[in-house]
Amino acid sequence: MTAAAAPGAPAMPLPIEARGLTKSFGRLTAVDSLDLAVHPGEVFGFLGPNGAGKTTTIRLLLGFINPSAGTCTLFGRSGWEPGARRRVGYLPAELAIDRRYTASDVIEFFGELRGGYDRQFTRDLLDRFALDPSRPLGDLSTGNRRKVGIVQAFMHRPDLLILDEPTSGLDPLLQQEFHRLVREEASRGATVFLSSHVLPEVEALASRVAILRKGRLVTVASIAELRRRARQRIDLFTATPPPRGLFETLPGVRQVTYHDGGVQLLVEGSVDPVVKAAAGLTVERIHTPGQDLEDLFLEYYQEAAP
Amino acid sequence: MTIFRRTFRDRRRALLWWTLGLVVINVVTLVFYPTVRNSQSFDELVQQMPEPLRATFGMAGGVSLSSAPGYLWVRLFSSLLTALLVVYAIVGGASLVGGSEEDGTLELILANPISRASLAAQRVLALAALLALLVLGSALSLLLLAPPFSALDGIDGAGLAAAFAGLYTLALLHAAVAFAGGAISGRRGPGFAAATVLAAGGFLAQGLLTAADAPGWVRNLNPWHWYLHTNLLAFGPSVSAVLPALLLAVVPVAAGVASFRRRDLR
Repeated sequence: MTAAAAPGAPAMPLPIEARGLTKSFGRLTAVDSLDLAVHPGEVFGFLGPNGAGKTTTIRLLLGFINPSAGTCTLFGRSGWEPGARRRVGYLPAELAIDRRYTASDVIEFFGELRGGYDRQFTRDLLDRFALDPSRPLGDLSTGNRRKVGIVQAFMHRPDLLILDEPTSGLDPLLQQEFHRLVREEASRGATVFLSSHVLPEVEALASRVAILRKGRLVTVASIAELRRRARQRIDLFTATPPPRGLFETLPGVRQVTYHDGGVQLLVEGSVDPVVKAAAGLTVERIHTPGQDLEDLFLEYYQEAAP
Repeated sequence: MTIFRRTFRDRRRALLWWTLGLVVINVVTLVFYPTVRNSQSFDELVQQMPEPLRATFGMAGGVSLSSAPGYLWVRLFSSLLTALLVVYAIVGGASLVGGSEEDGTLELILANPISRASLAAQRVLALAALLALLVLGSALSLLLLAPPFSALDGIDGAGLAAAFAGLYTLALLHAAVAFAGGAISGRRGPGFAAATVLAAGGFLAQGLLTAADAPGWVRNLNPWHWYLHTNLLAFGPSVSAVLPALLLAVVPVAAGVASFRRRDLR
C-alpha cells in the first residue's frame, strides 16, 4: 500500500479560500456569505454584473478592507499580512499610479518592494505589448496604461494572479495577446483569479466560473455546465413571416417575439429542435447577438435567485 | 527603505522650488535691513511700549528691533519664513497617506508585500528629512547672504542654530498632525484642517495671550509659545523651544499609524 496522502497531514493551502465572507458598508451588504475555493493552477472566472461585489471581494482578499464576518486567505494566510501578498500579482480594474511615473519607475519601484523580479521576462513583456517604458503614465493612452498594469502584475512571475476586468480598454489584438499570456502563466502552474463582467473573456480562459449577483454567489460551475444552462438569442430572418405556433411549443424555447423580418427566439439549452423546425422555412439570415453576460445571465439569475 | 527613497524622489523637484522661494524671502528681508538699521524712530516707539506688548513683537529682554537679531526674528522667524515652512509641512503631511489614498494610488502600492505601518513610517521619515533639507537650505542661504548687509551682527552660530532648530520642530509637529488627520480619515481635508487649526490658533493665541500677560502655564500649553516666547537668535539654544514639540510630534504620528494599520482603505 502506498500512502498517497498521509492521514492528518496538513492539506496544501489553497491559493484563495473564503468562508462565509461578508462585507457590509452601512446598510448595504456588498459581499454576502461568500464561500470560495480556488485550486492551484486553475483559471477561475469570477463573473457578475457591475456592482455585484467582485471588486469588493478582491479588496477583501488583498487585505485592503476587513471582512464584517467570515474569513478569506491567500495561500492559507490573511491578505493583510505582507508575506501573503509576496506571491500575488494584482491587476486592478483601474490603474491608479502617480501620473509622473514612467513604466520603468513602476517596474523598479514594485520590483524592489517585491524583493526582485524576472528582468528578462519583463523586457519580453514590454516588447510583446509594444510599451515604451520611458514615458510618464500621465502621457499614455488608456490602452497603454492598461499595459503598464499588466506588466506590473506579471513581472515577478507570481503564483497567484488576481485580475480585475483585465482587458477593458485593450484593443482586440492586445486582448488576444493578453489571453495568450494568461494561458502561458497558467500552464507554468500559476493560479489565475479572473474577475470580469463579460462572458467571452471568461469563457476563453477559465475552466471554472463563479457567478456573483448582489454580493451573493449564484453558482460555481464549469464552463461546459454554464454553456448548457445558458440561454441563447436567435434571430431568424425569413422570406415569409413564419407561422405562429411553430416555435412556441418546442423544448427549451422560453420566449418568441415576432418582428418584421421574422422571429426572435430565446432558447435554453440545445438549439437543435429550433434548427430542425426552422429547416421547413426559407431562412435568409440567422443572427445570434453577442453572448454578453449582462444580456445572457443577468435576467436568467434575476429569476433564479430568490 | 524603498518607500522612503521613493517618497523622497517624488518630492525632490518640489523641494527645489520651495528652497528657491525661501531664499528669495531671505534676500528680500536682508535687502531691507540697512534701512531699518539706520532708523531709530520705530525702535524708540517699541521701547516705550509696555513689556507684554513688546513681547508680542519678539522684543522682550531688551532686544532692539534695529539690531540684526531683533530684525531677523521679527521679519523672518516669527512671520513669513515660519508660515511657509508650516504650510510645506501641512501640505506634505496631509498627503503622505490621506492624499495618496484619496488619489487612489495607495492601494496598488499596498498590494505589494509591505505592511501599512512600515509604509506610513517610511513616508513620515521621508517628509521629516525633506523638511530638514528645506530648513538647512534656508539656513545656508542666510549664512551666505547676510554678511554683506551686516545682518548677522550680534548673532552667533548657536543662536542661528537654535532659531532654525526651533523652526524645524515646530513645522515637524504640524506635519505630524496633518499626517494623523490624513492617515485616520483617508483624505487630505481632515489633515489640512487639524494642522491649520493648530497653526492659526496657536499663532493667534500666542500673540493675544502674551499681550494680555496671561499666566505662564496657560501660555505654555501652546507649541507656538514654546518657539516664539524668546528671541532664539539673540539668546541662543533653548531646550523648551525644541524638545517638547519633538516629543509631542510622536503622539499624532503614533495615533495615525495605529489607526491606518487596521482600518478599511477608502
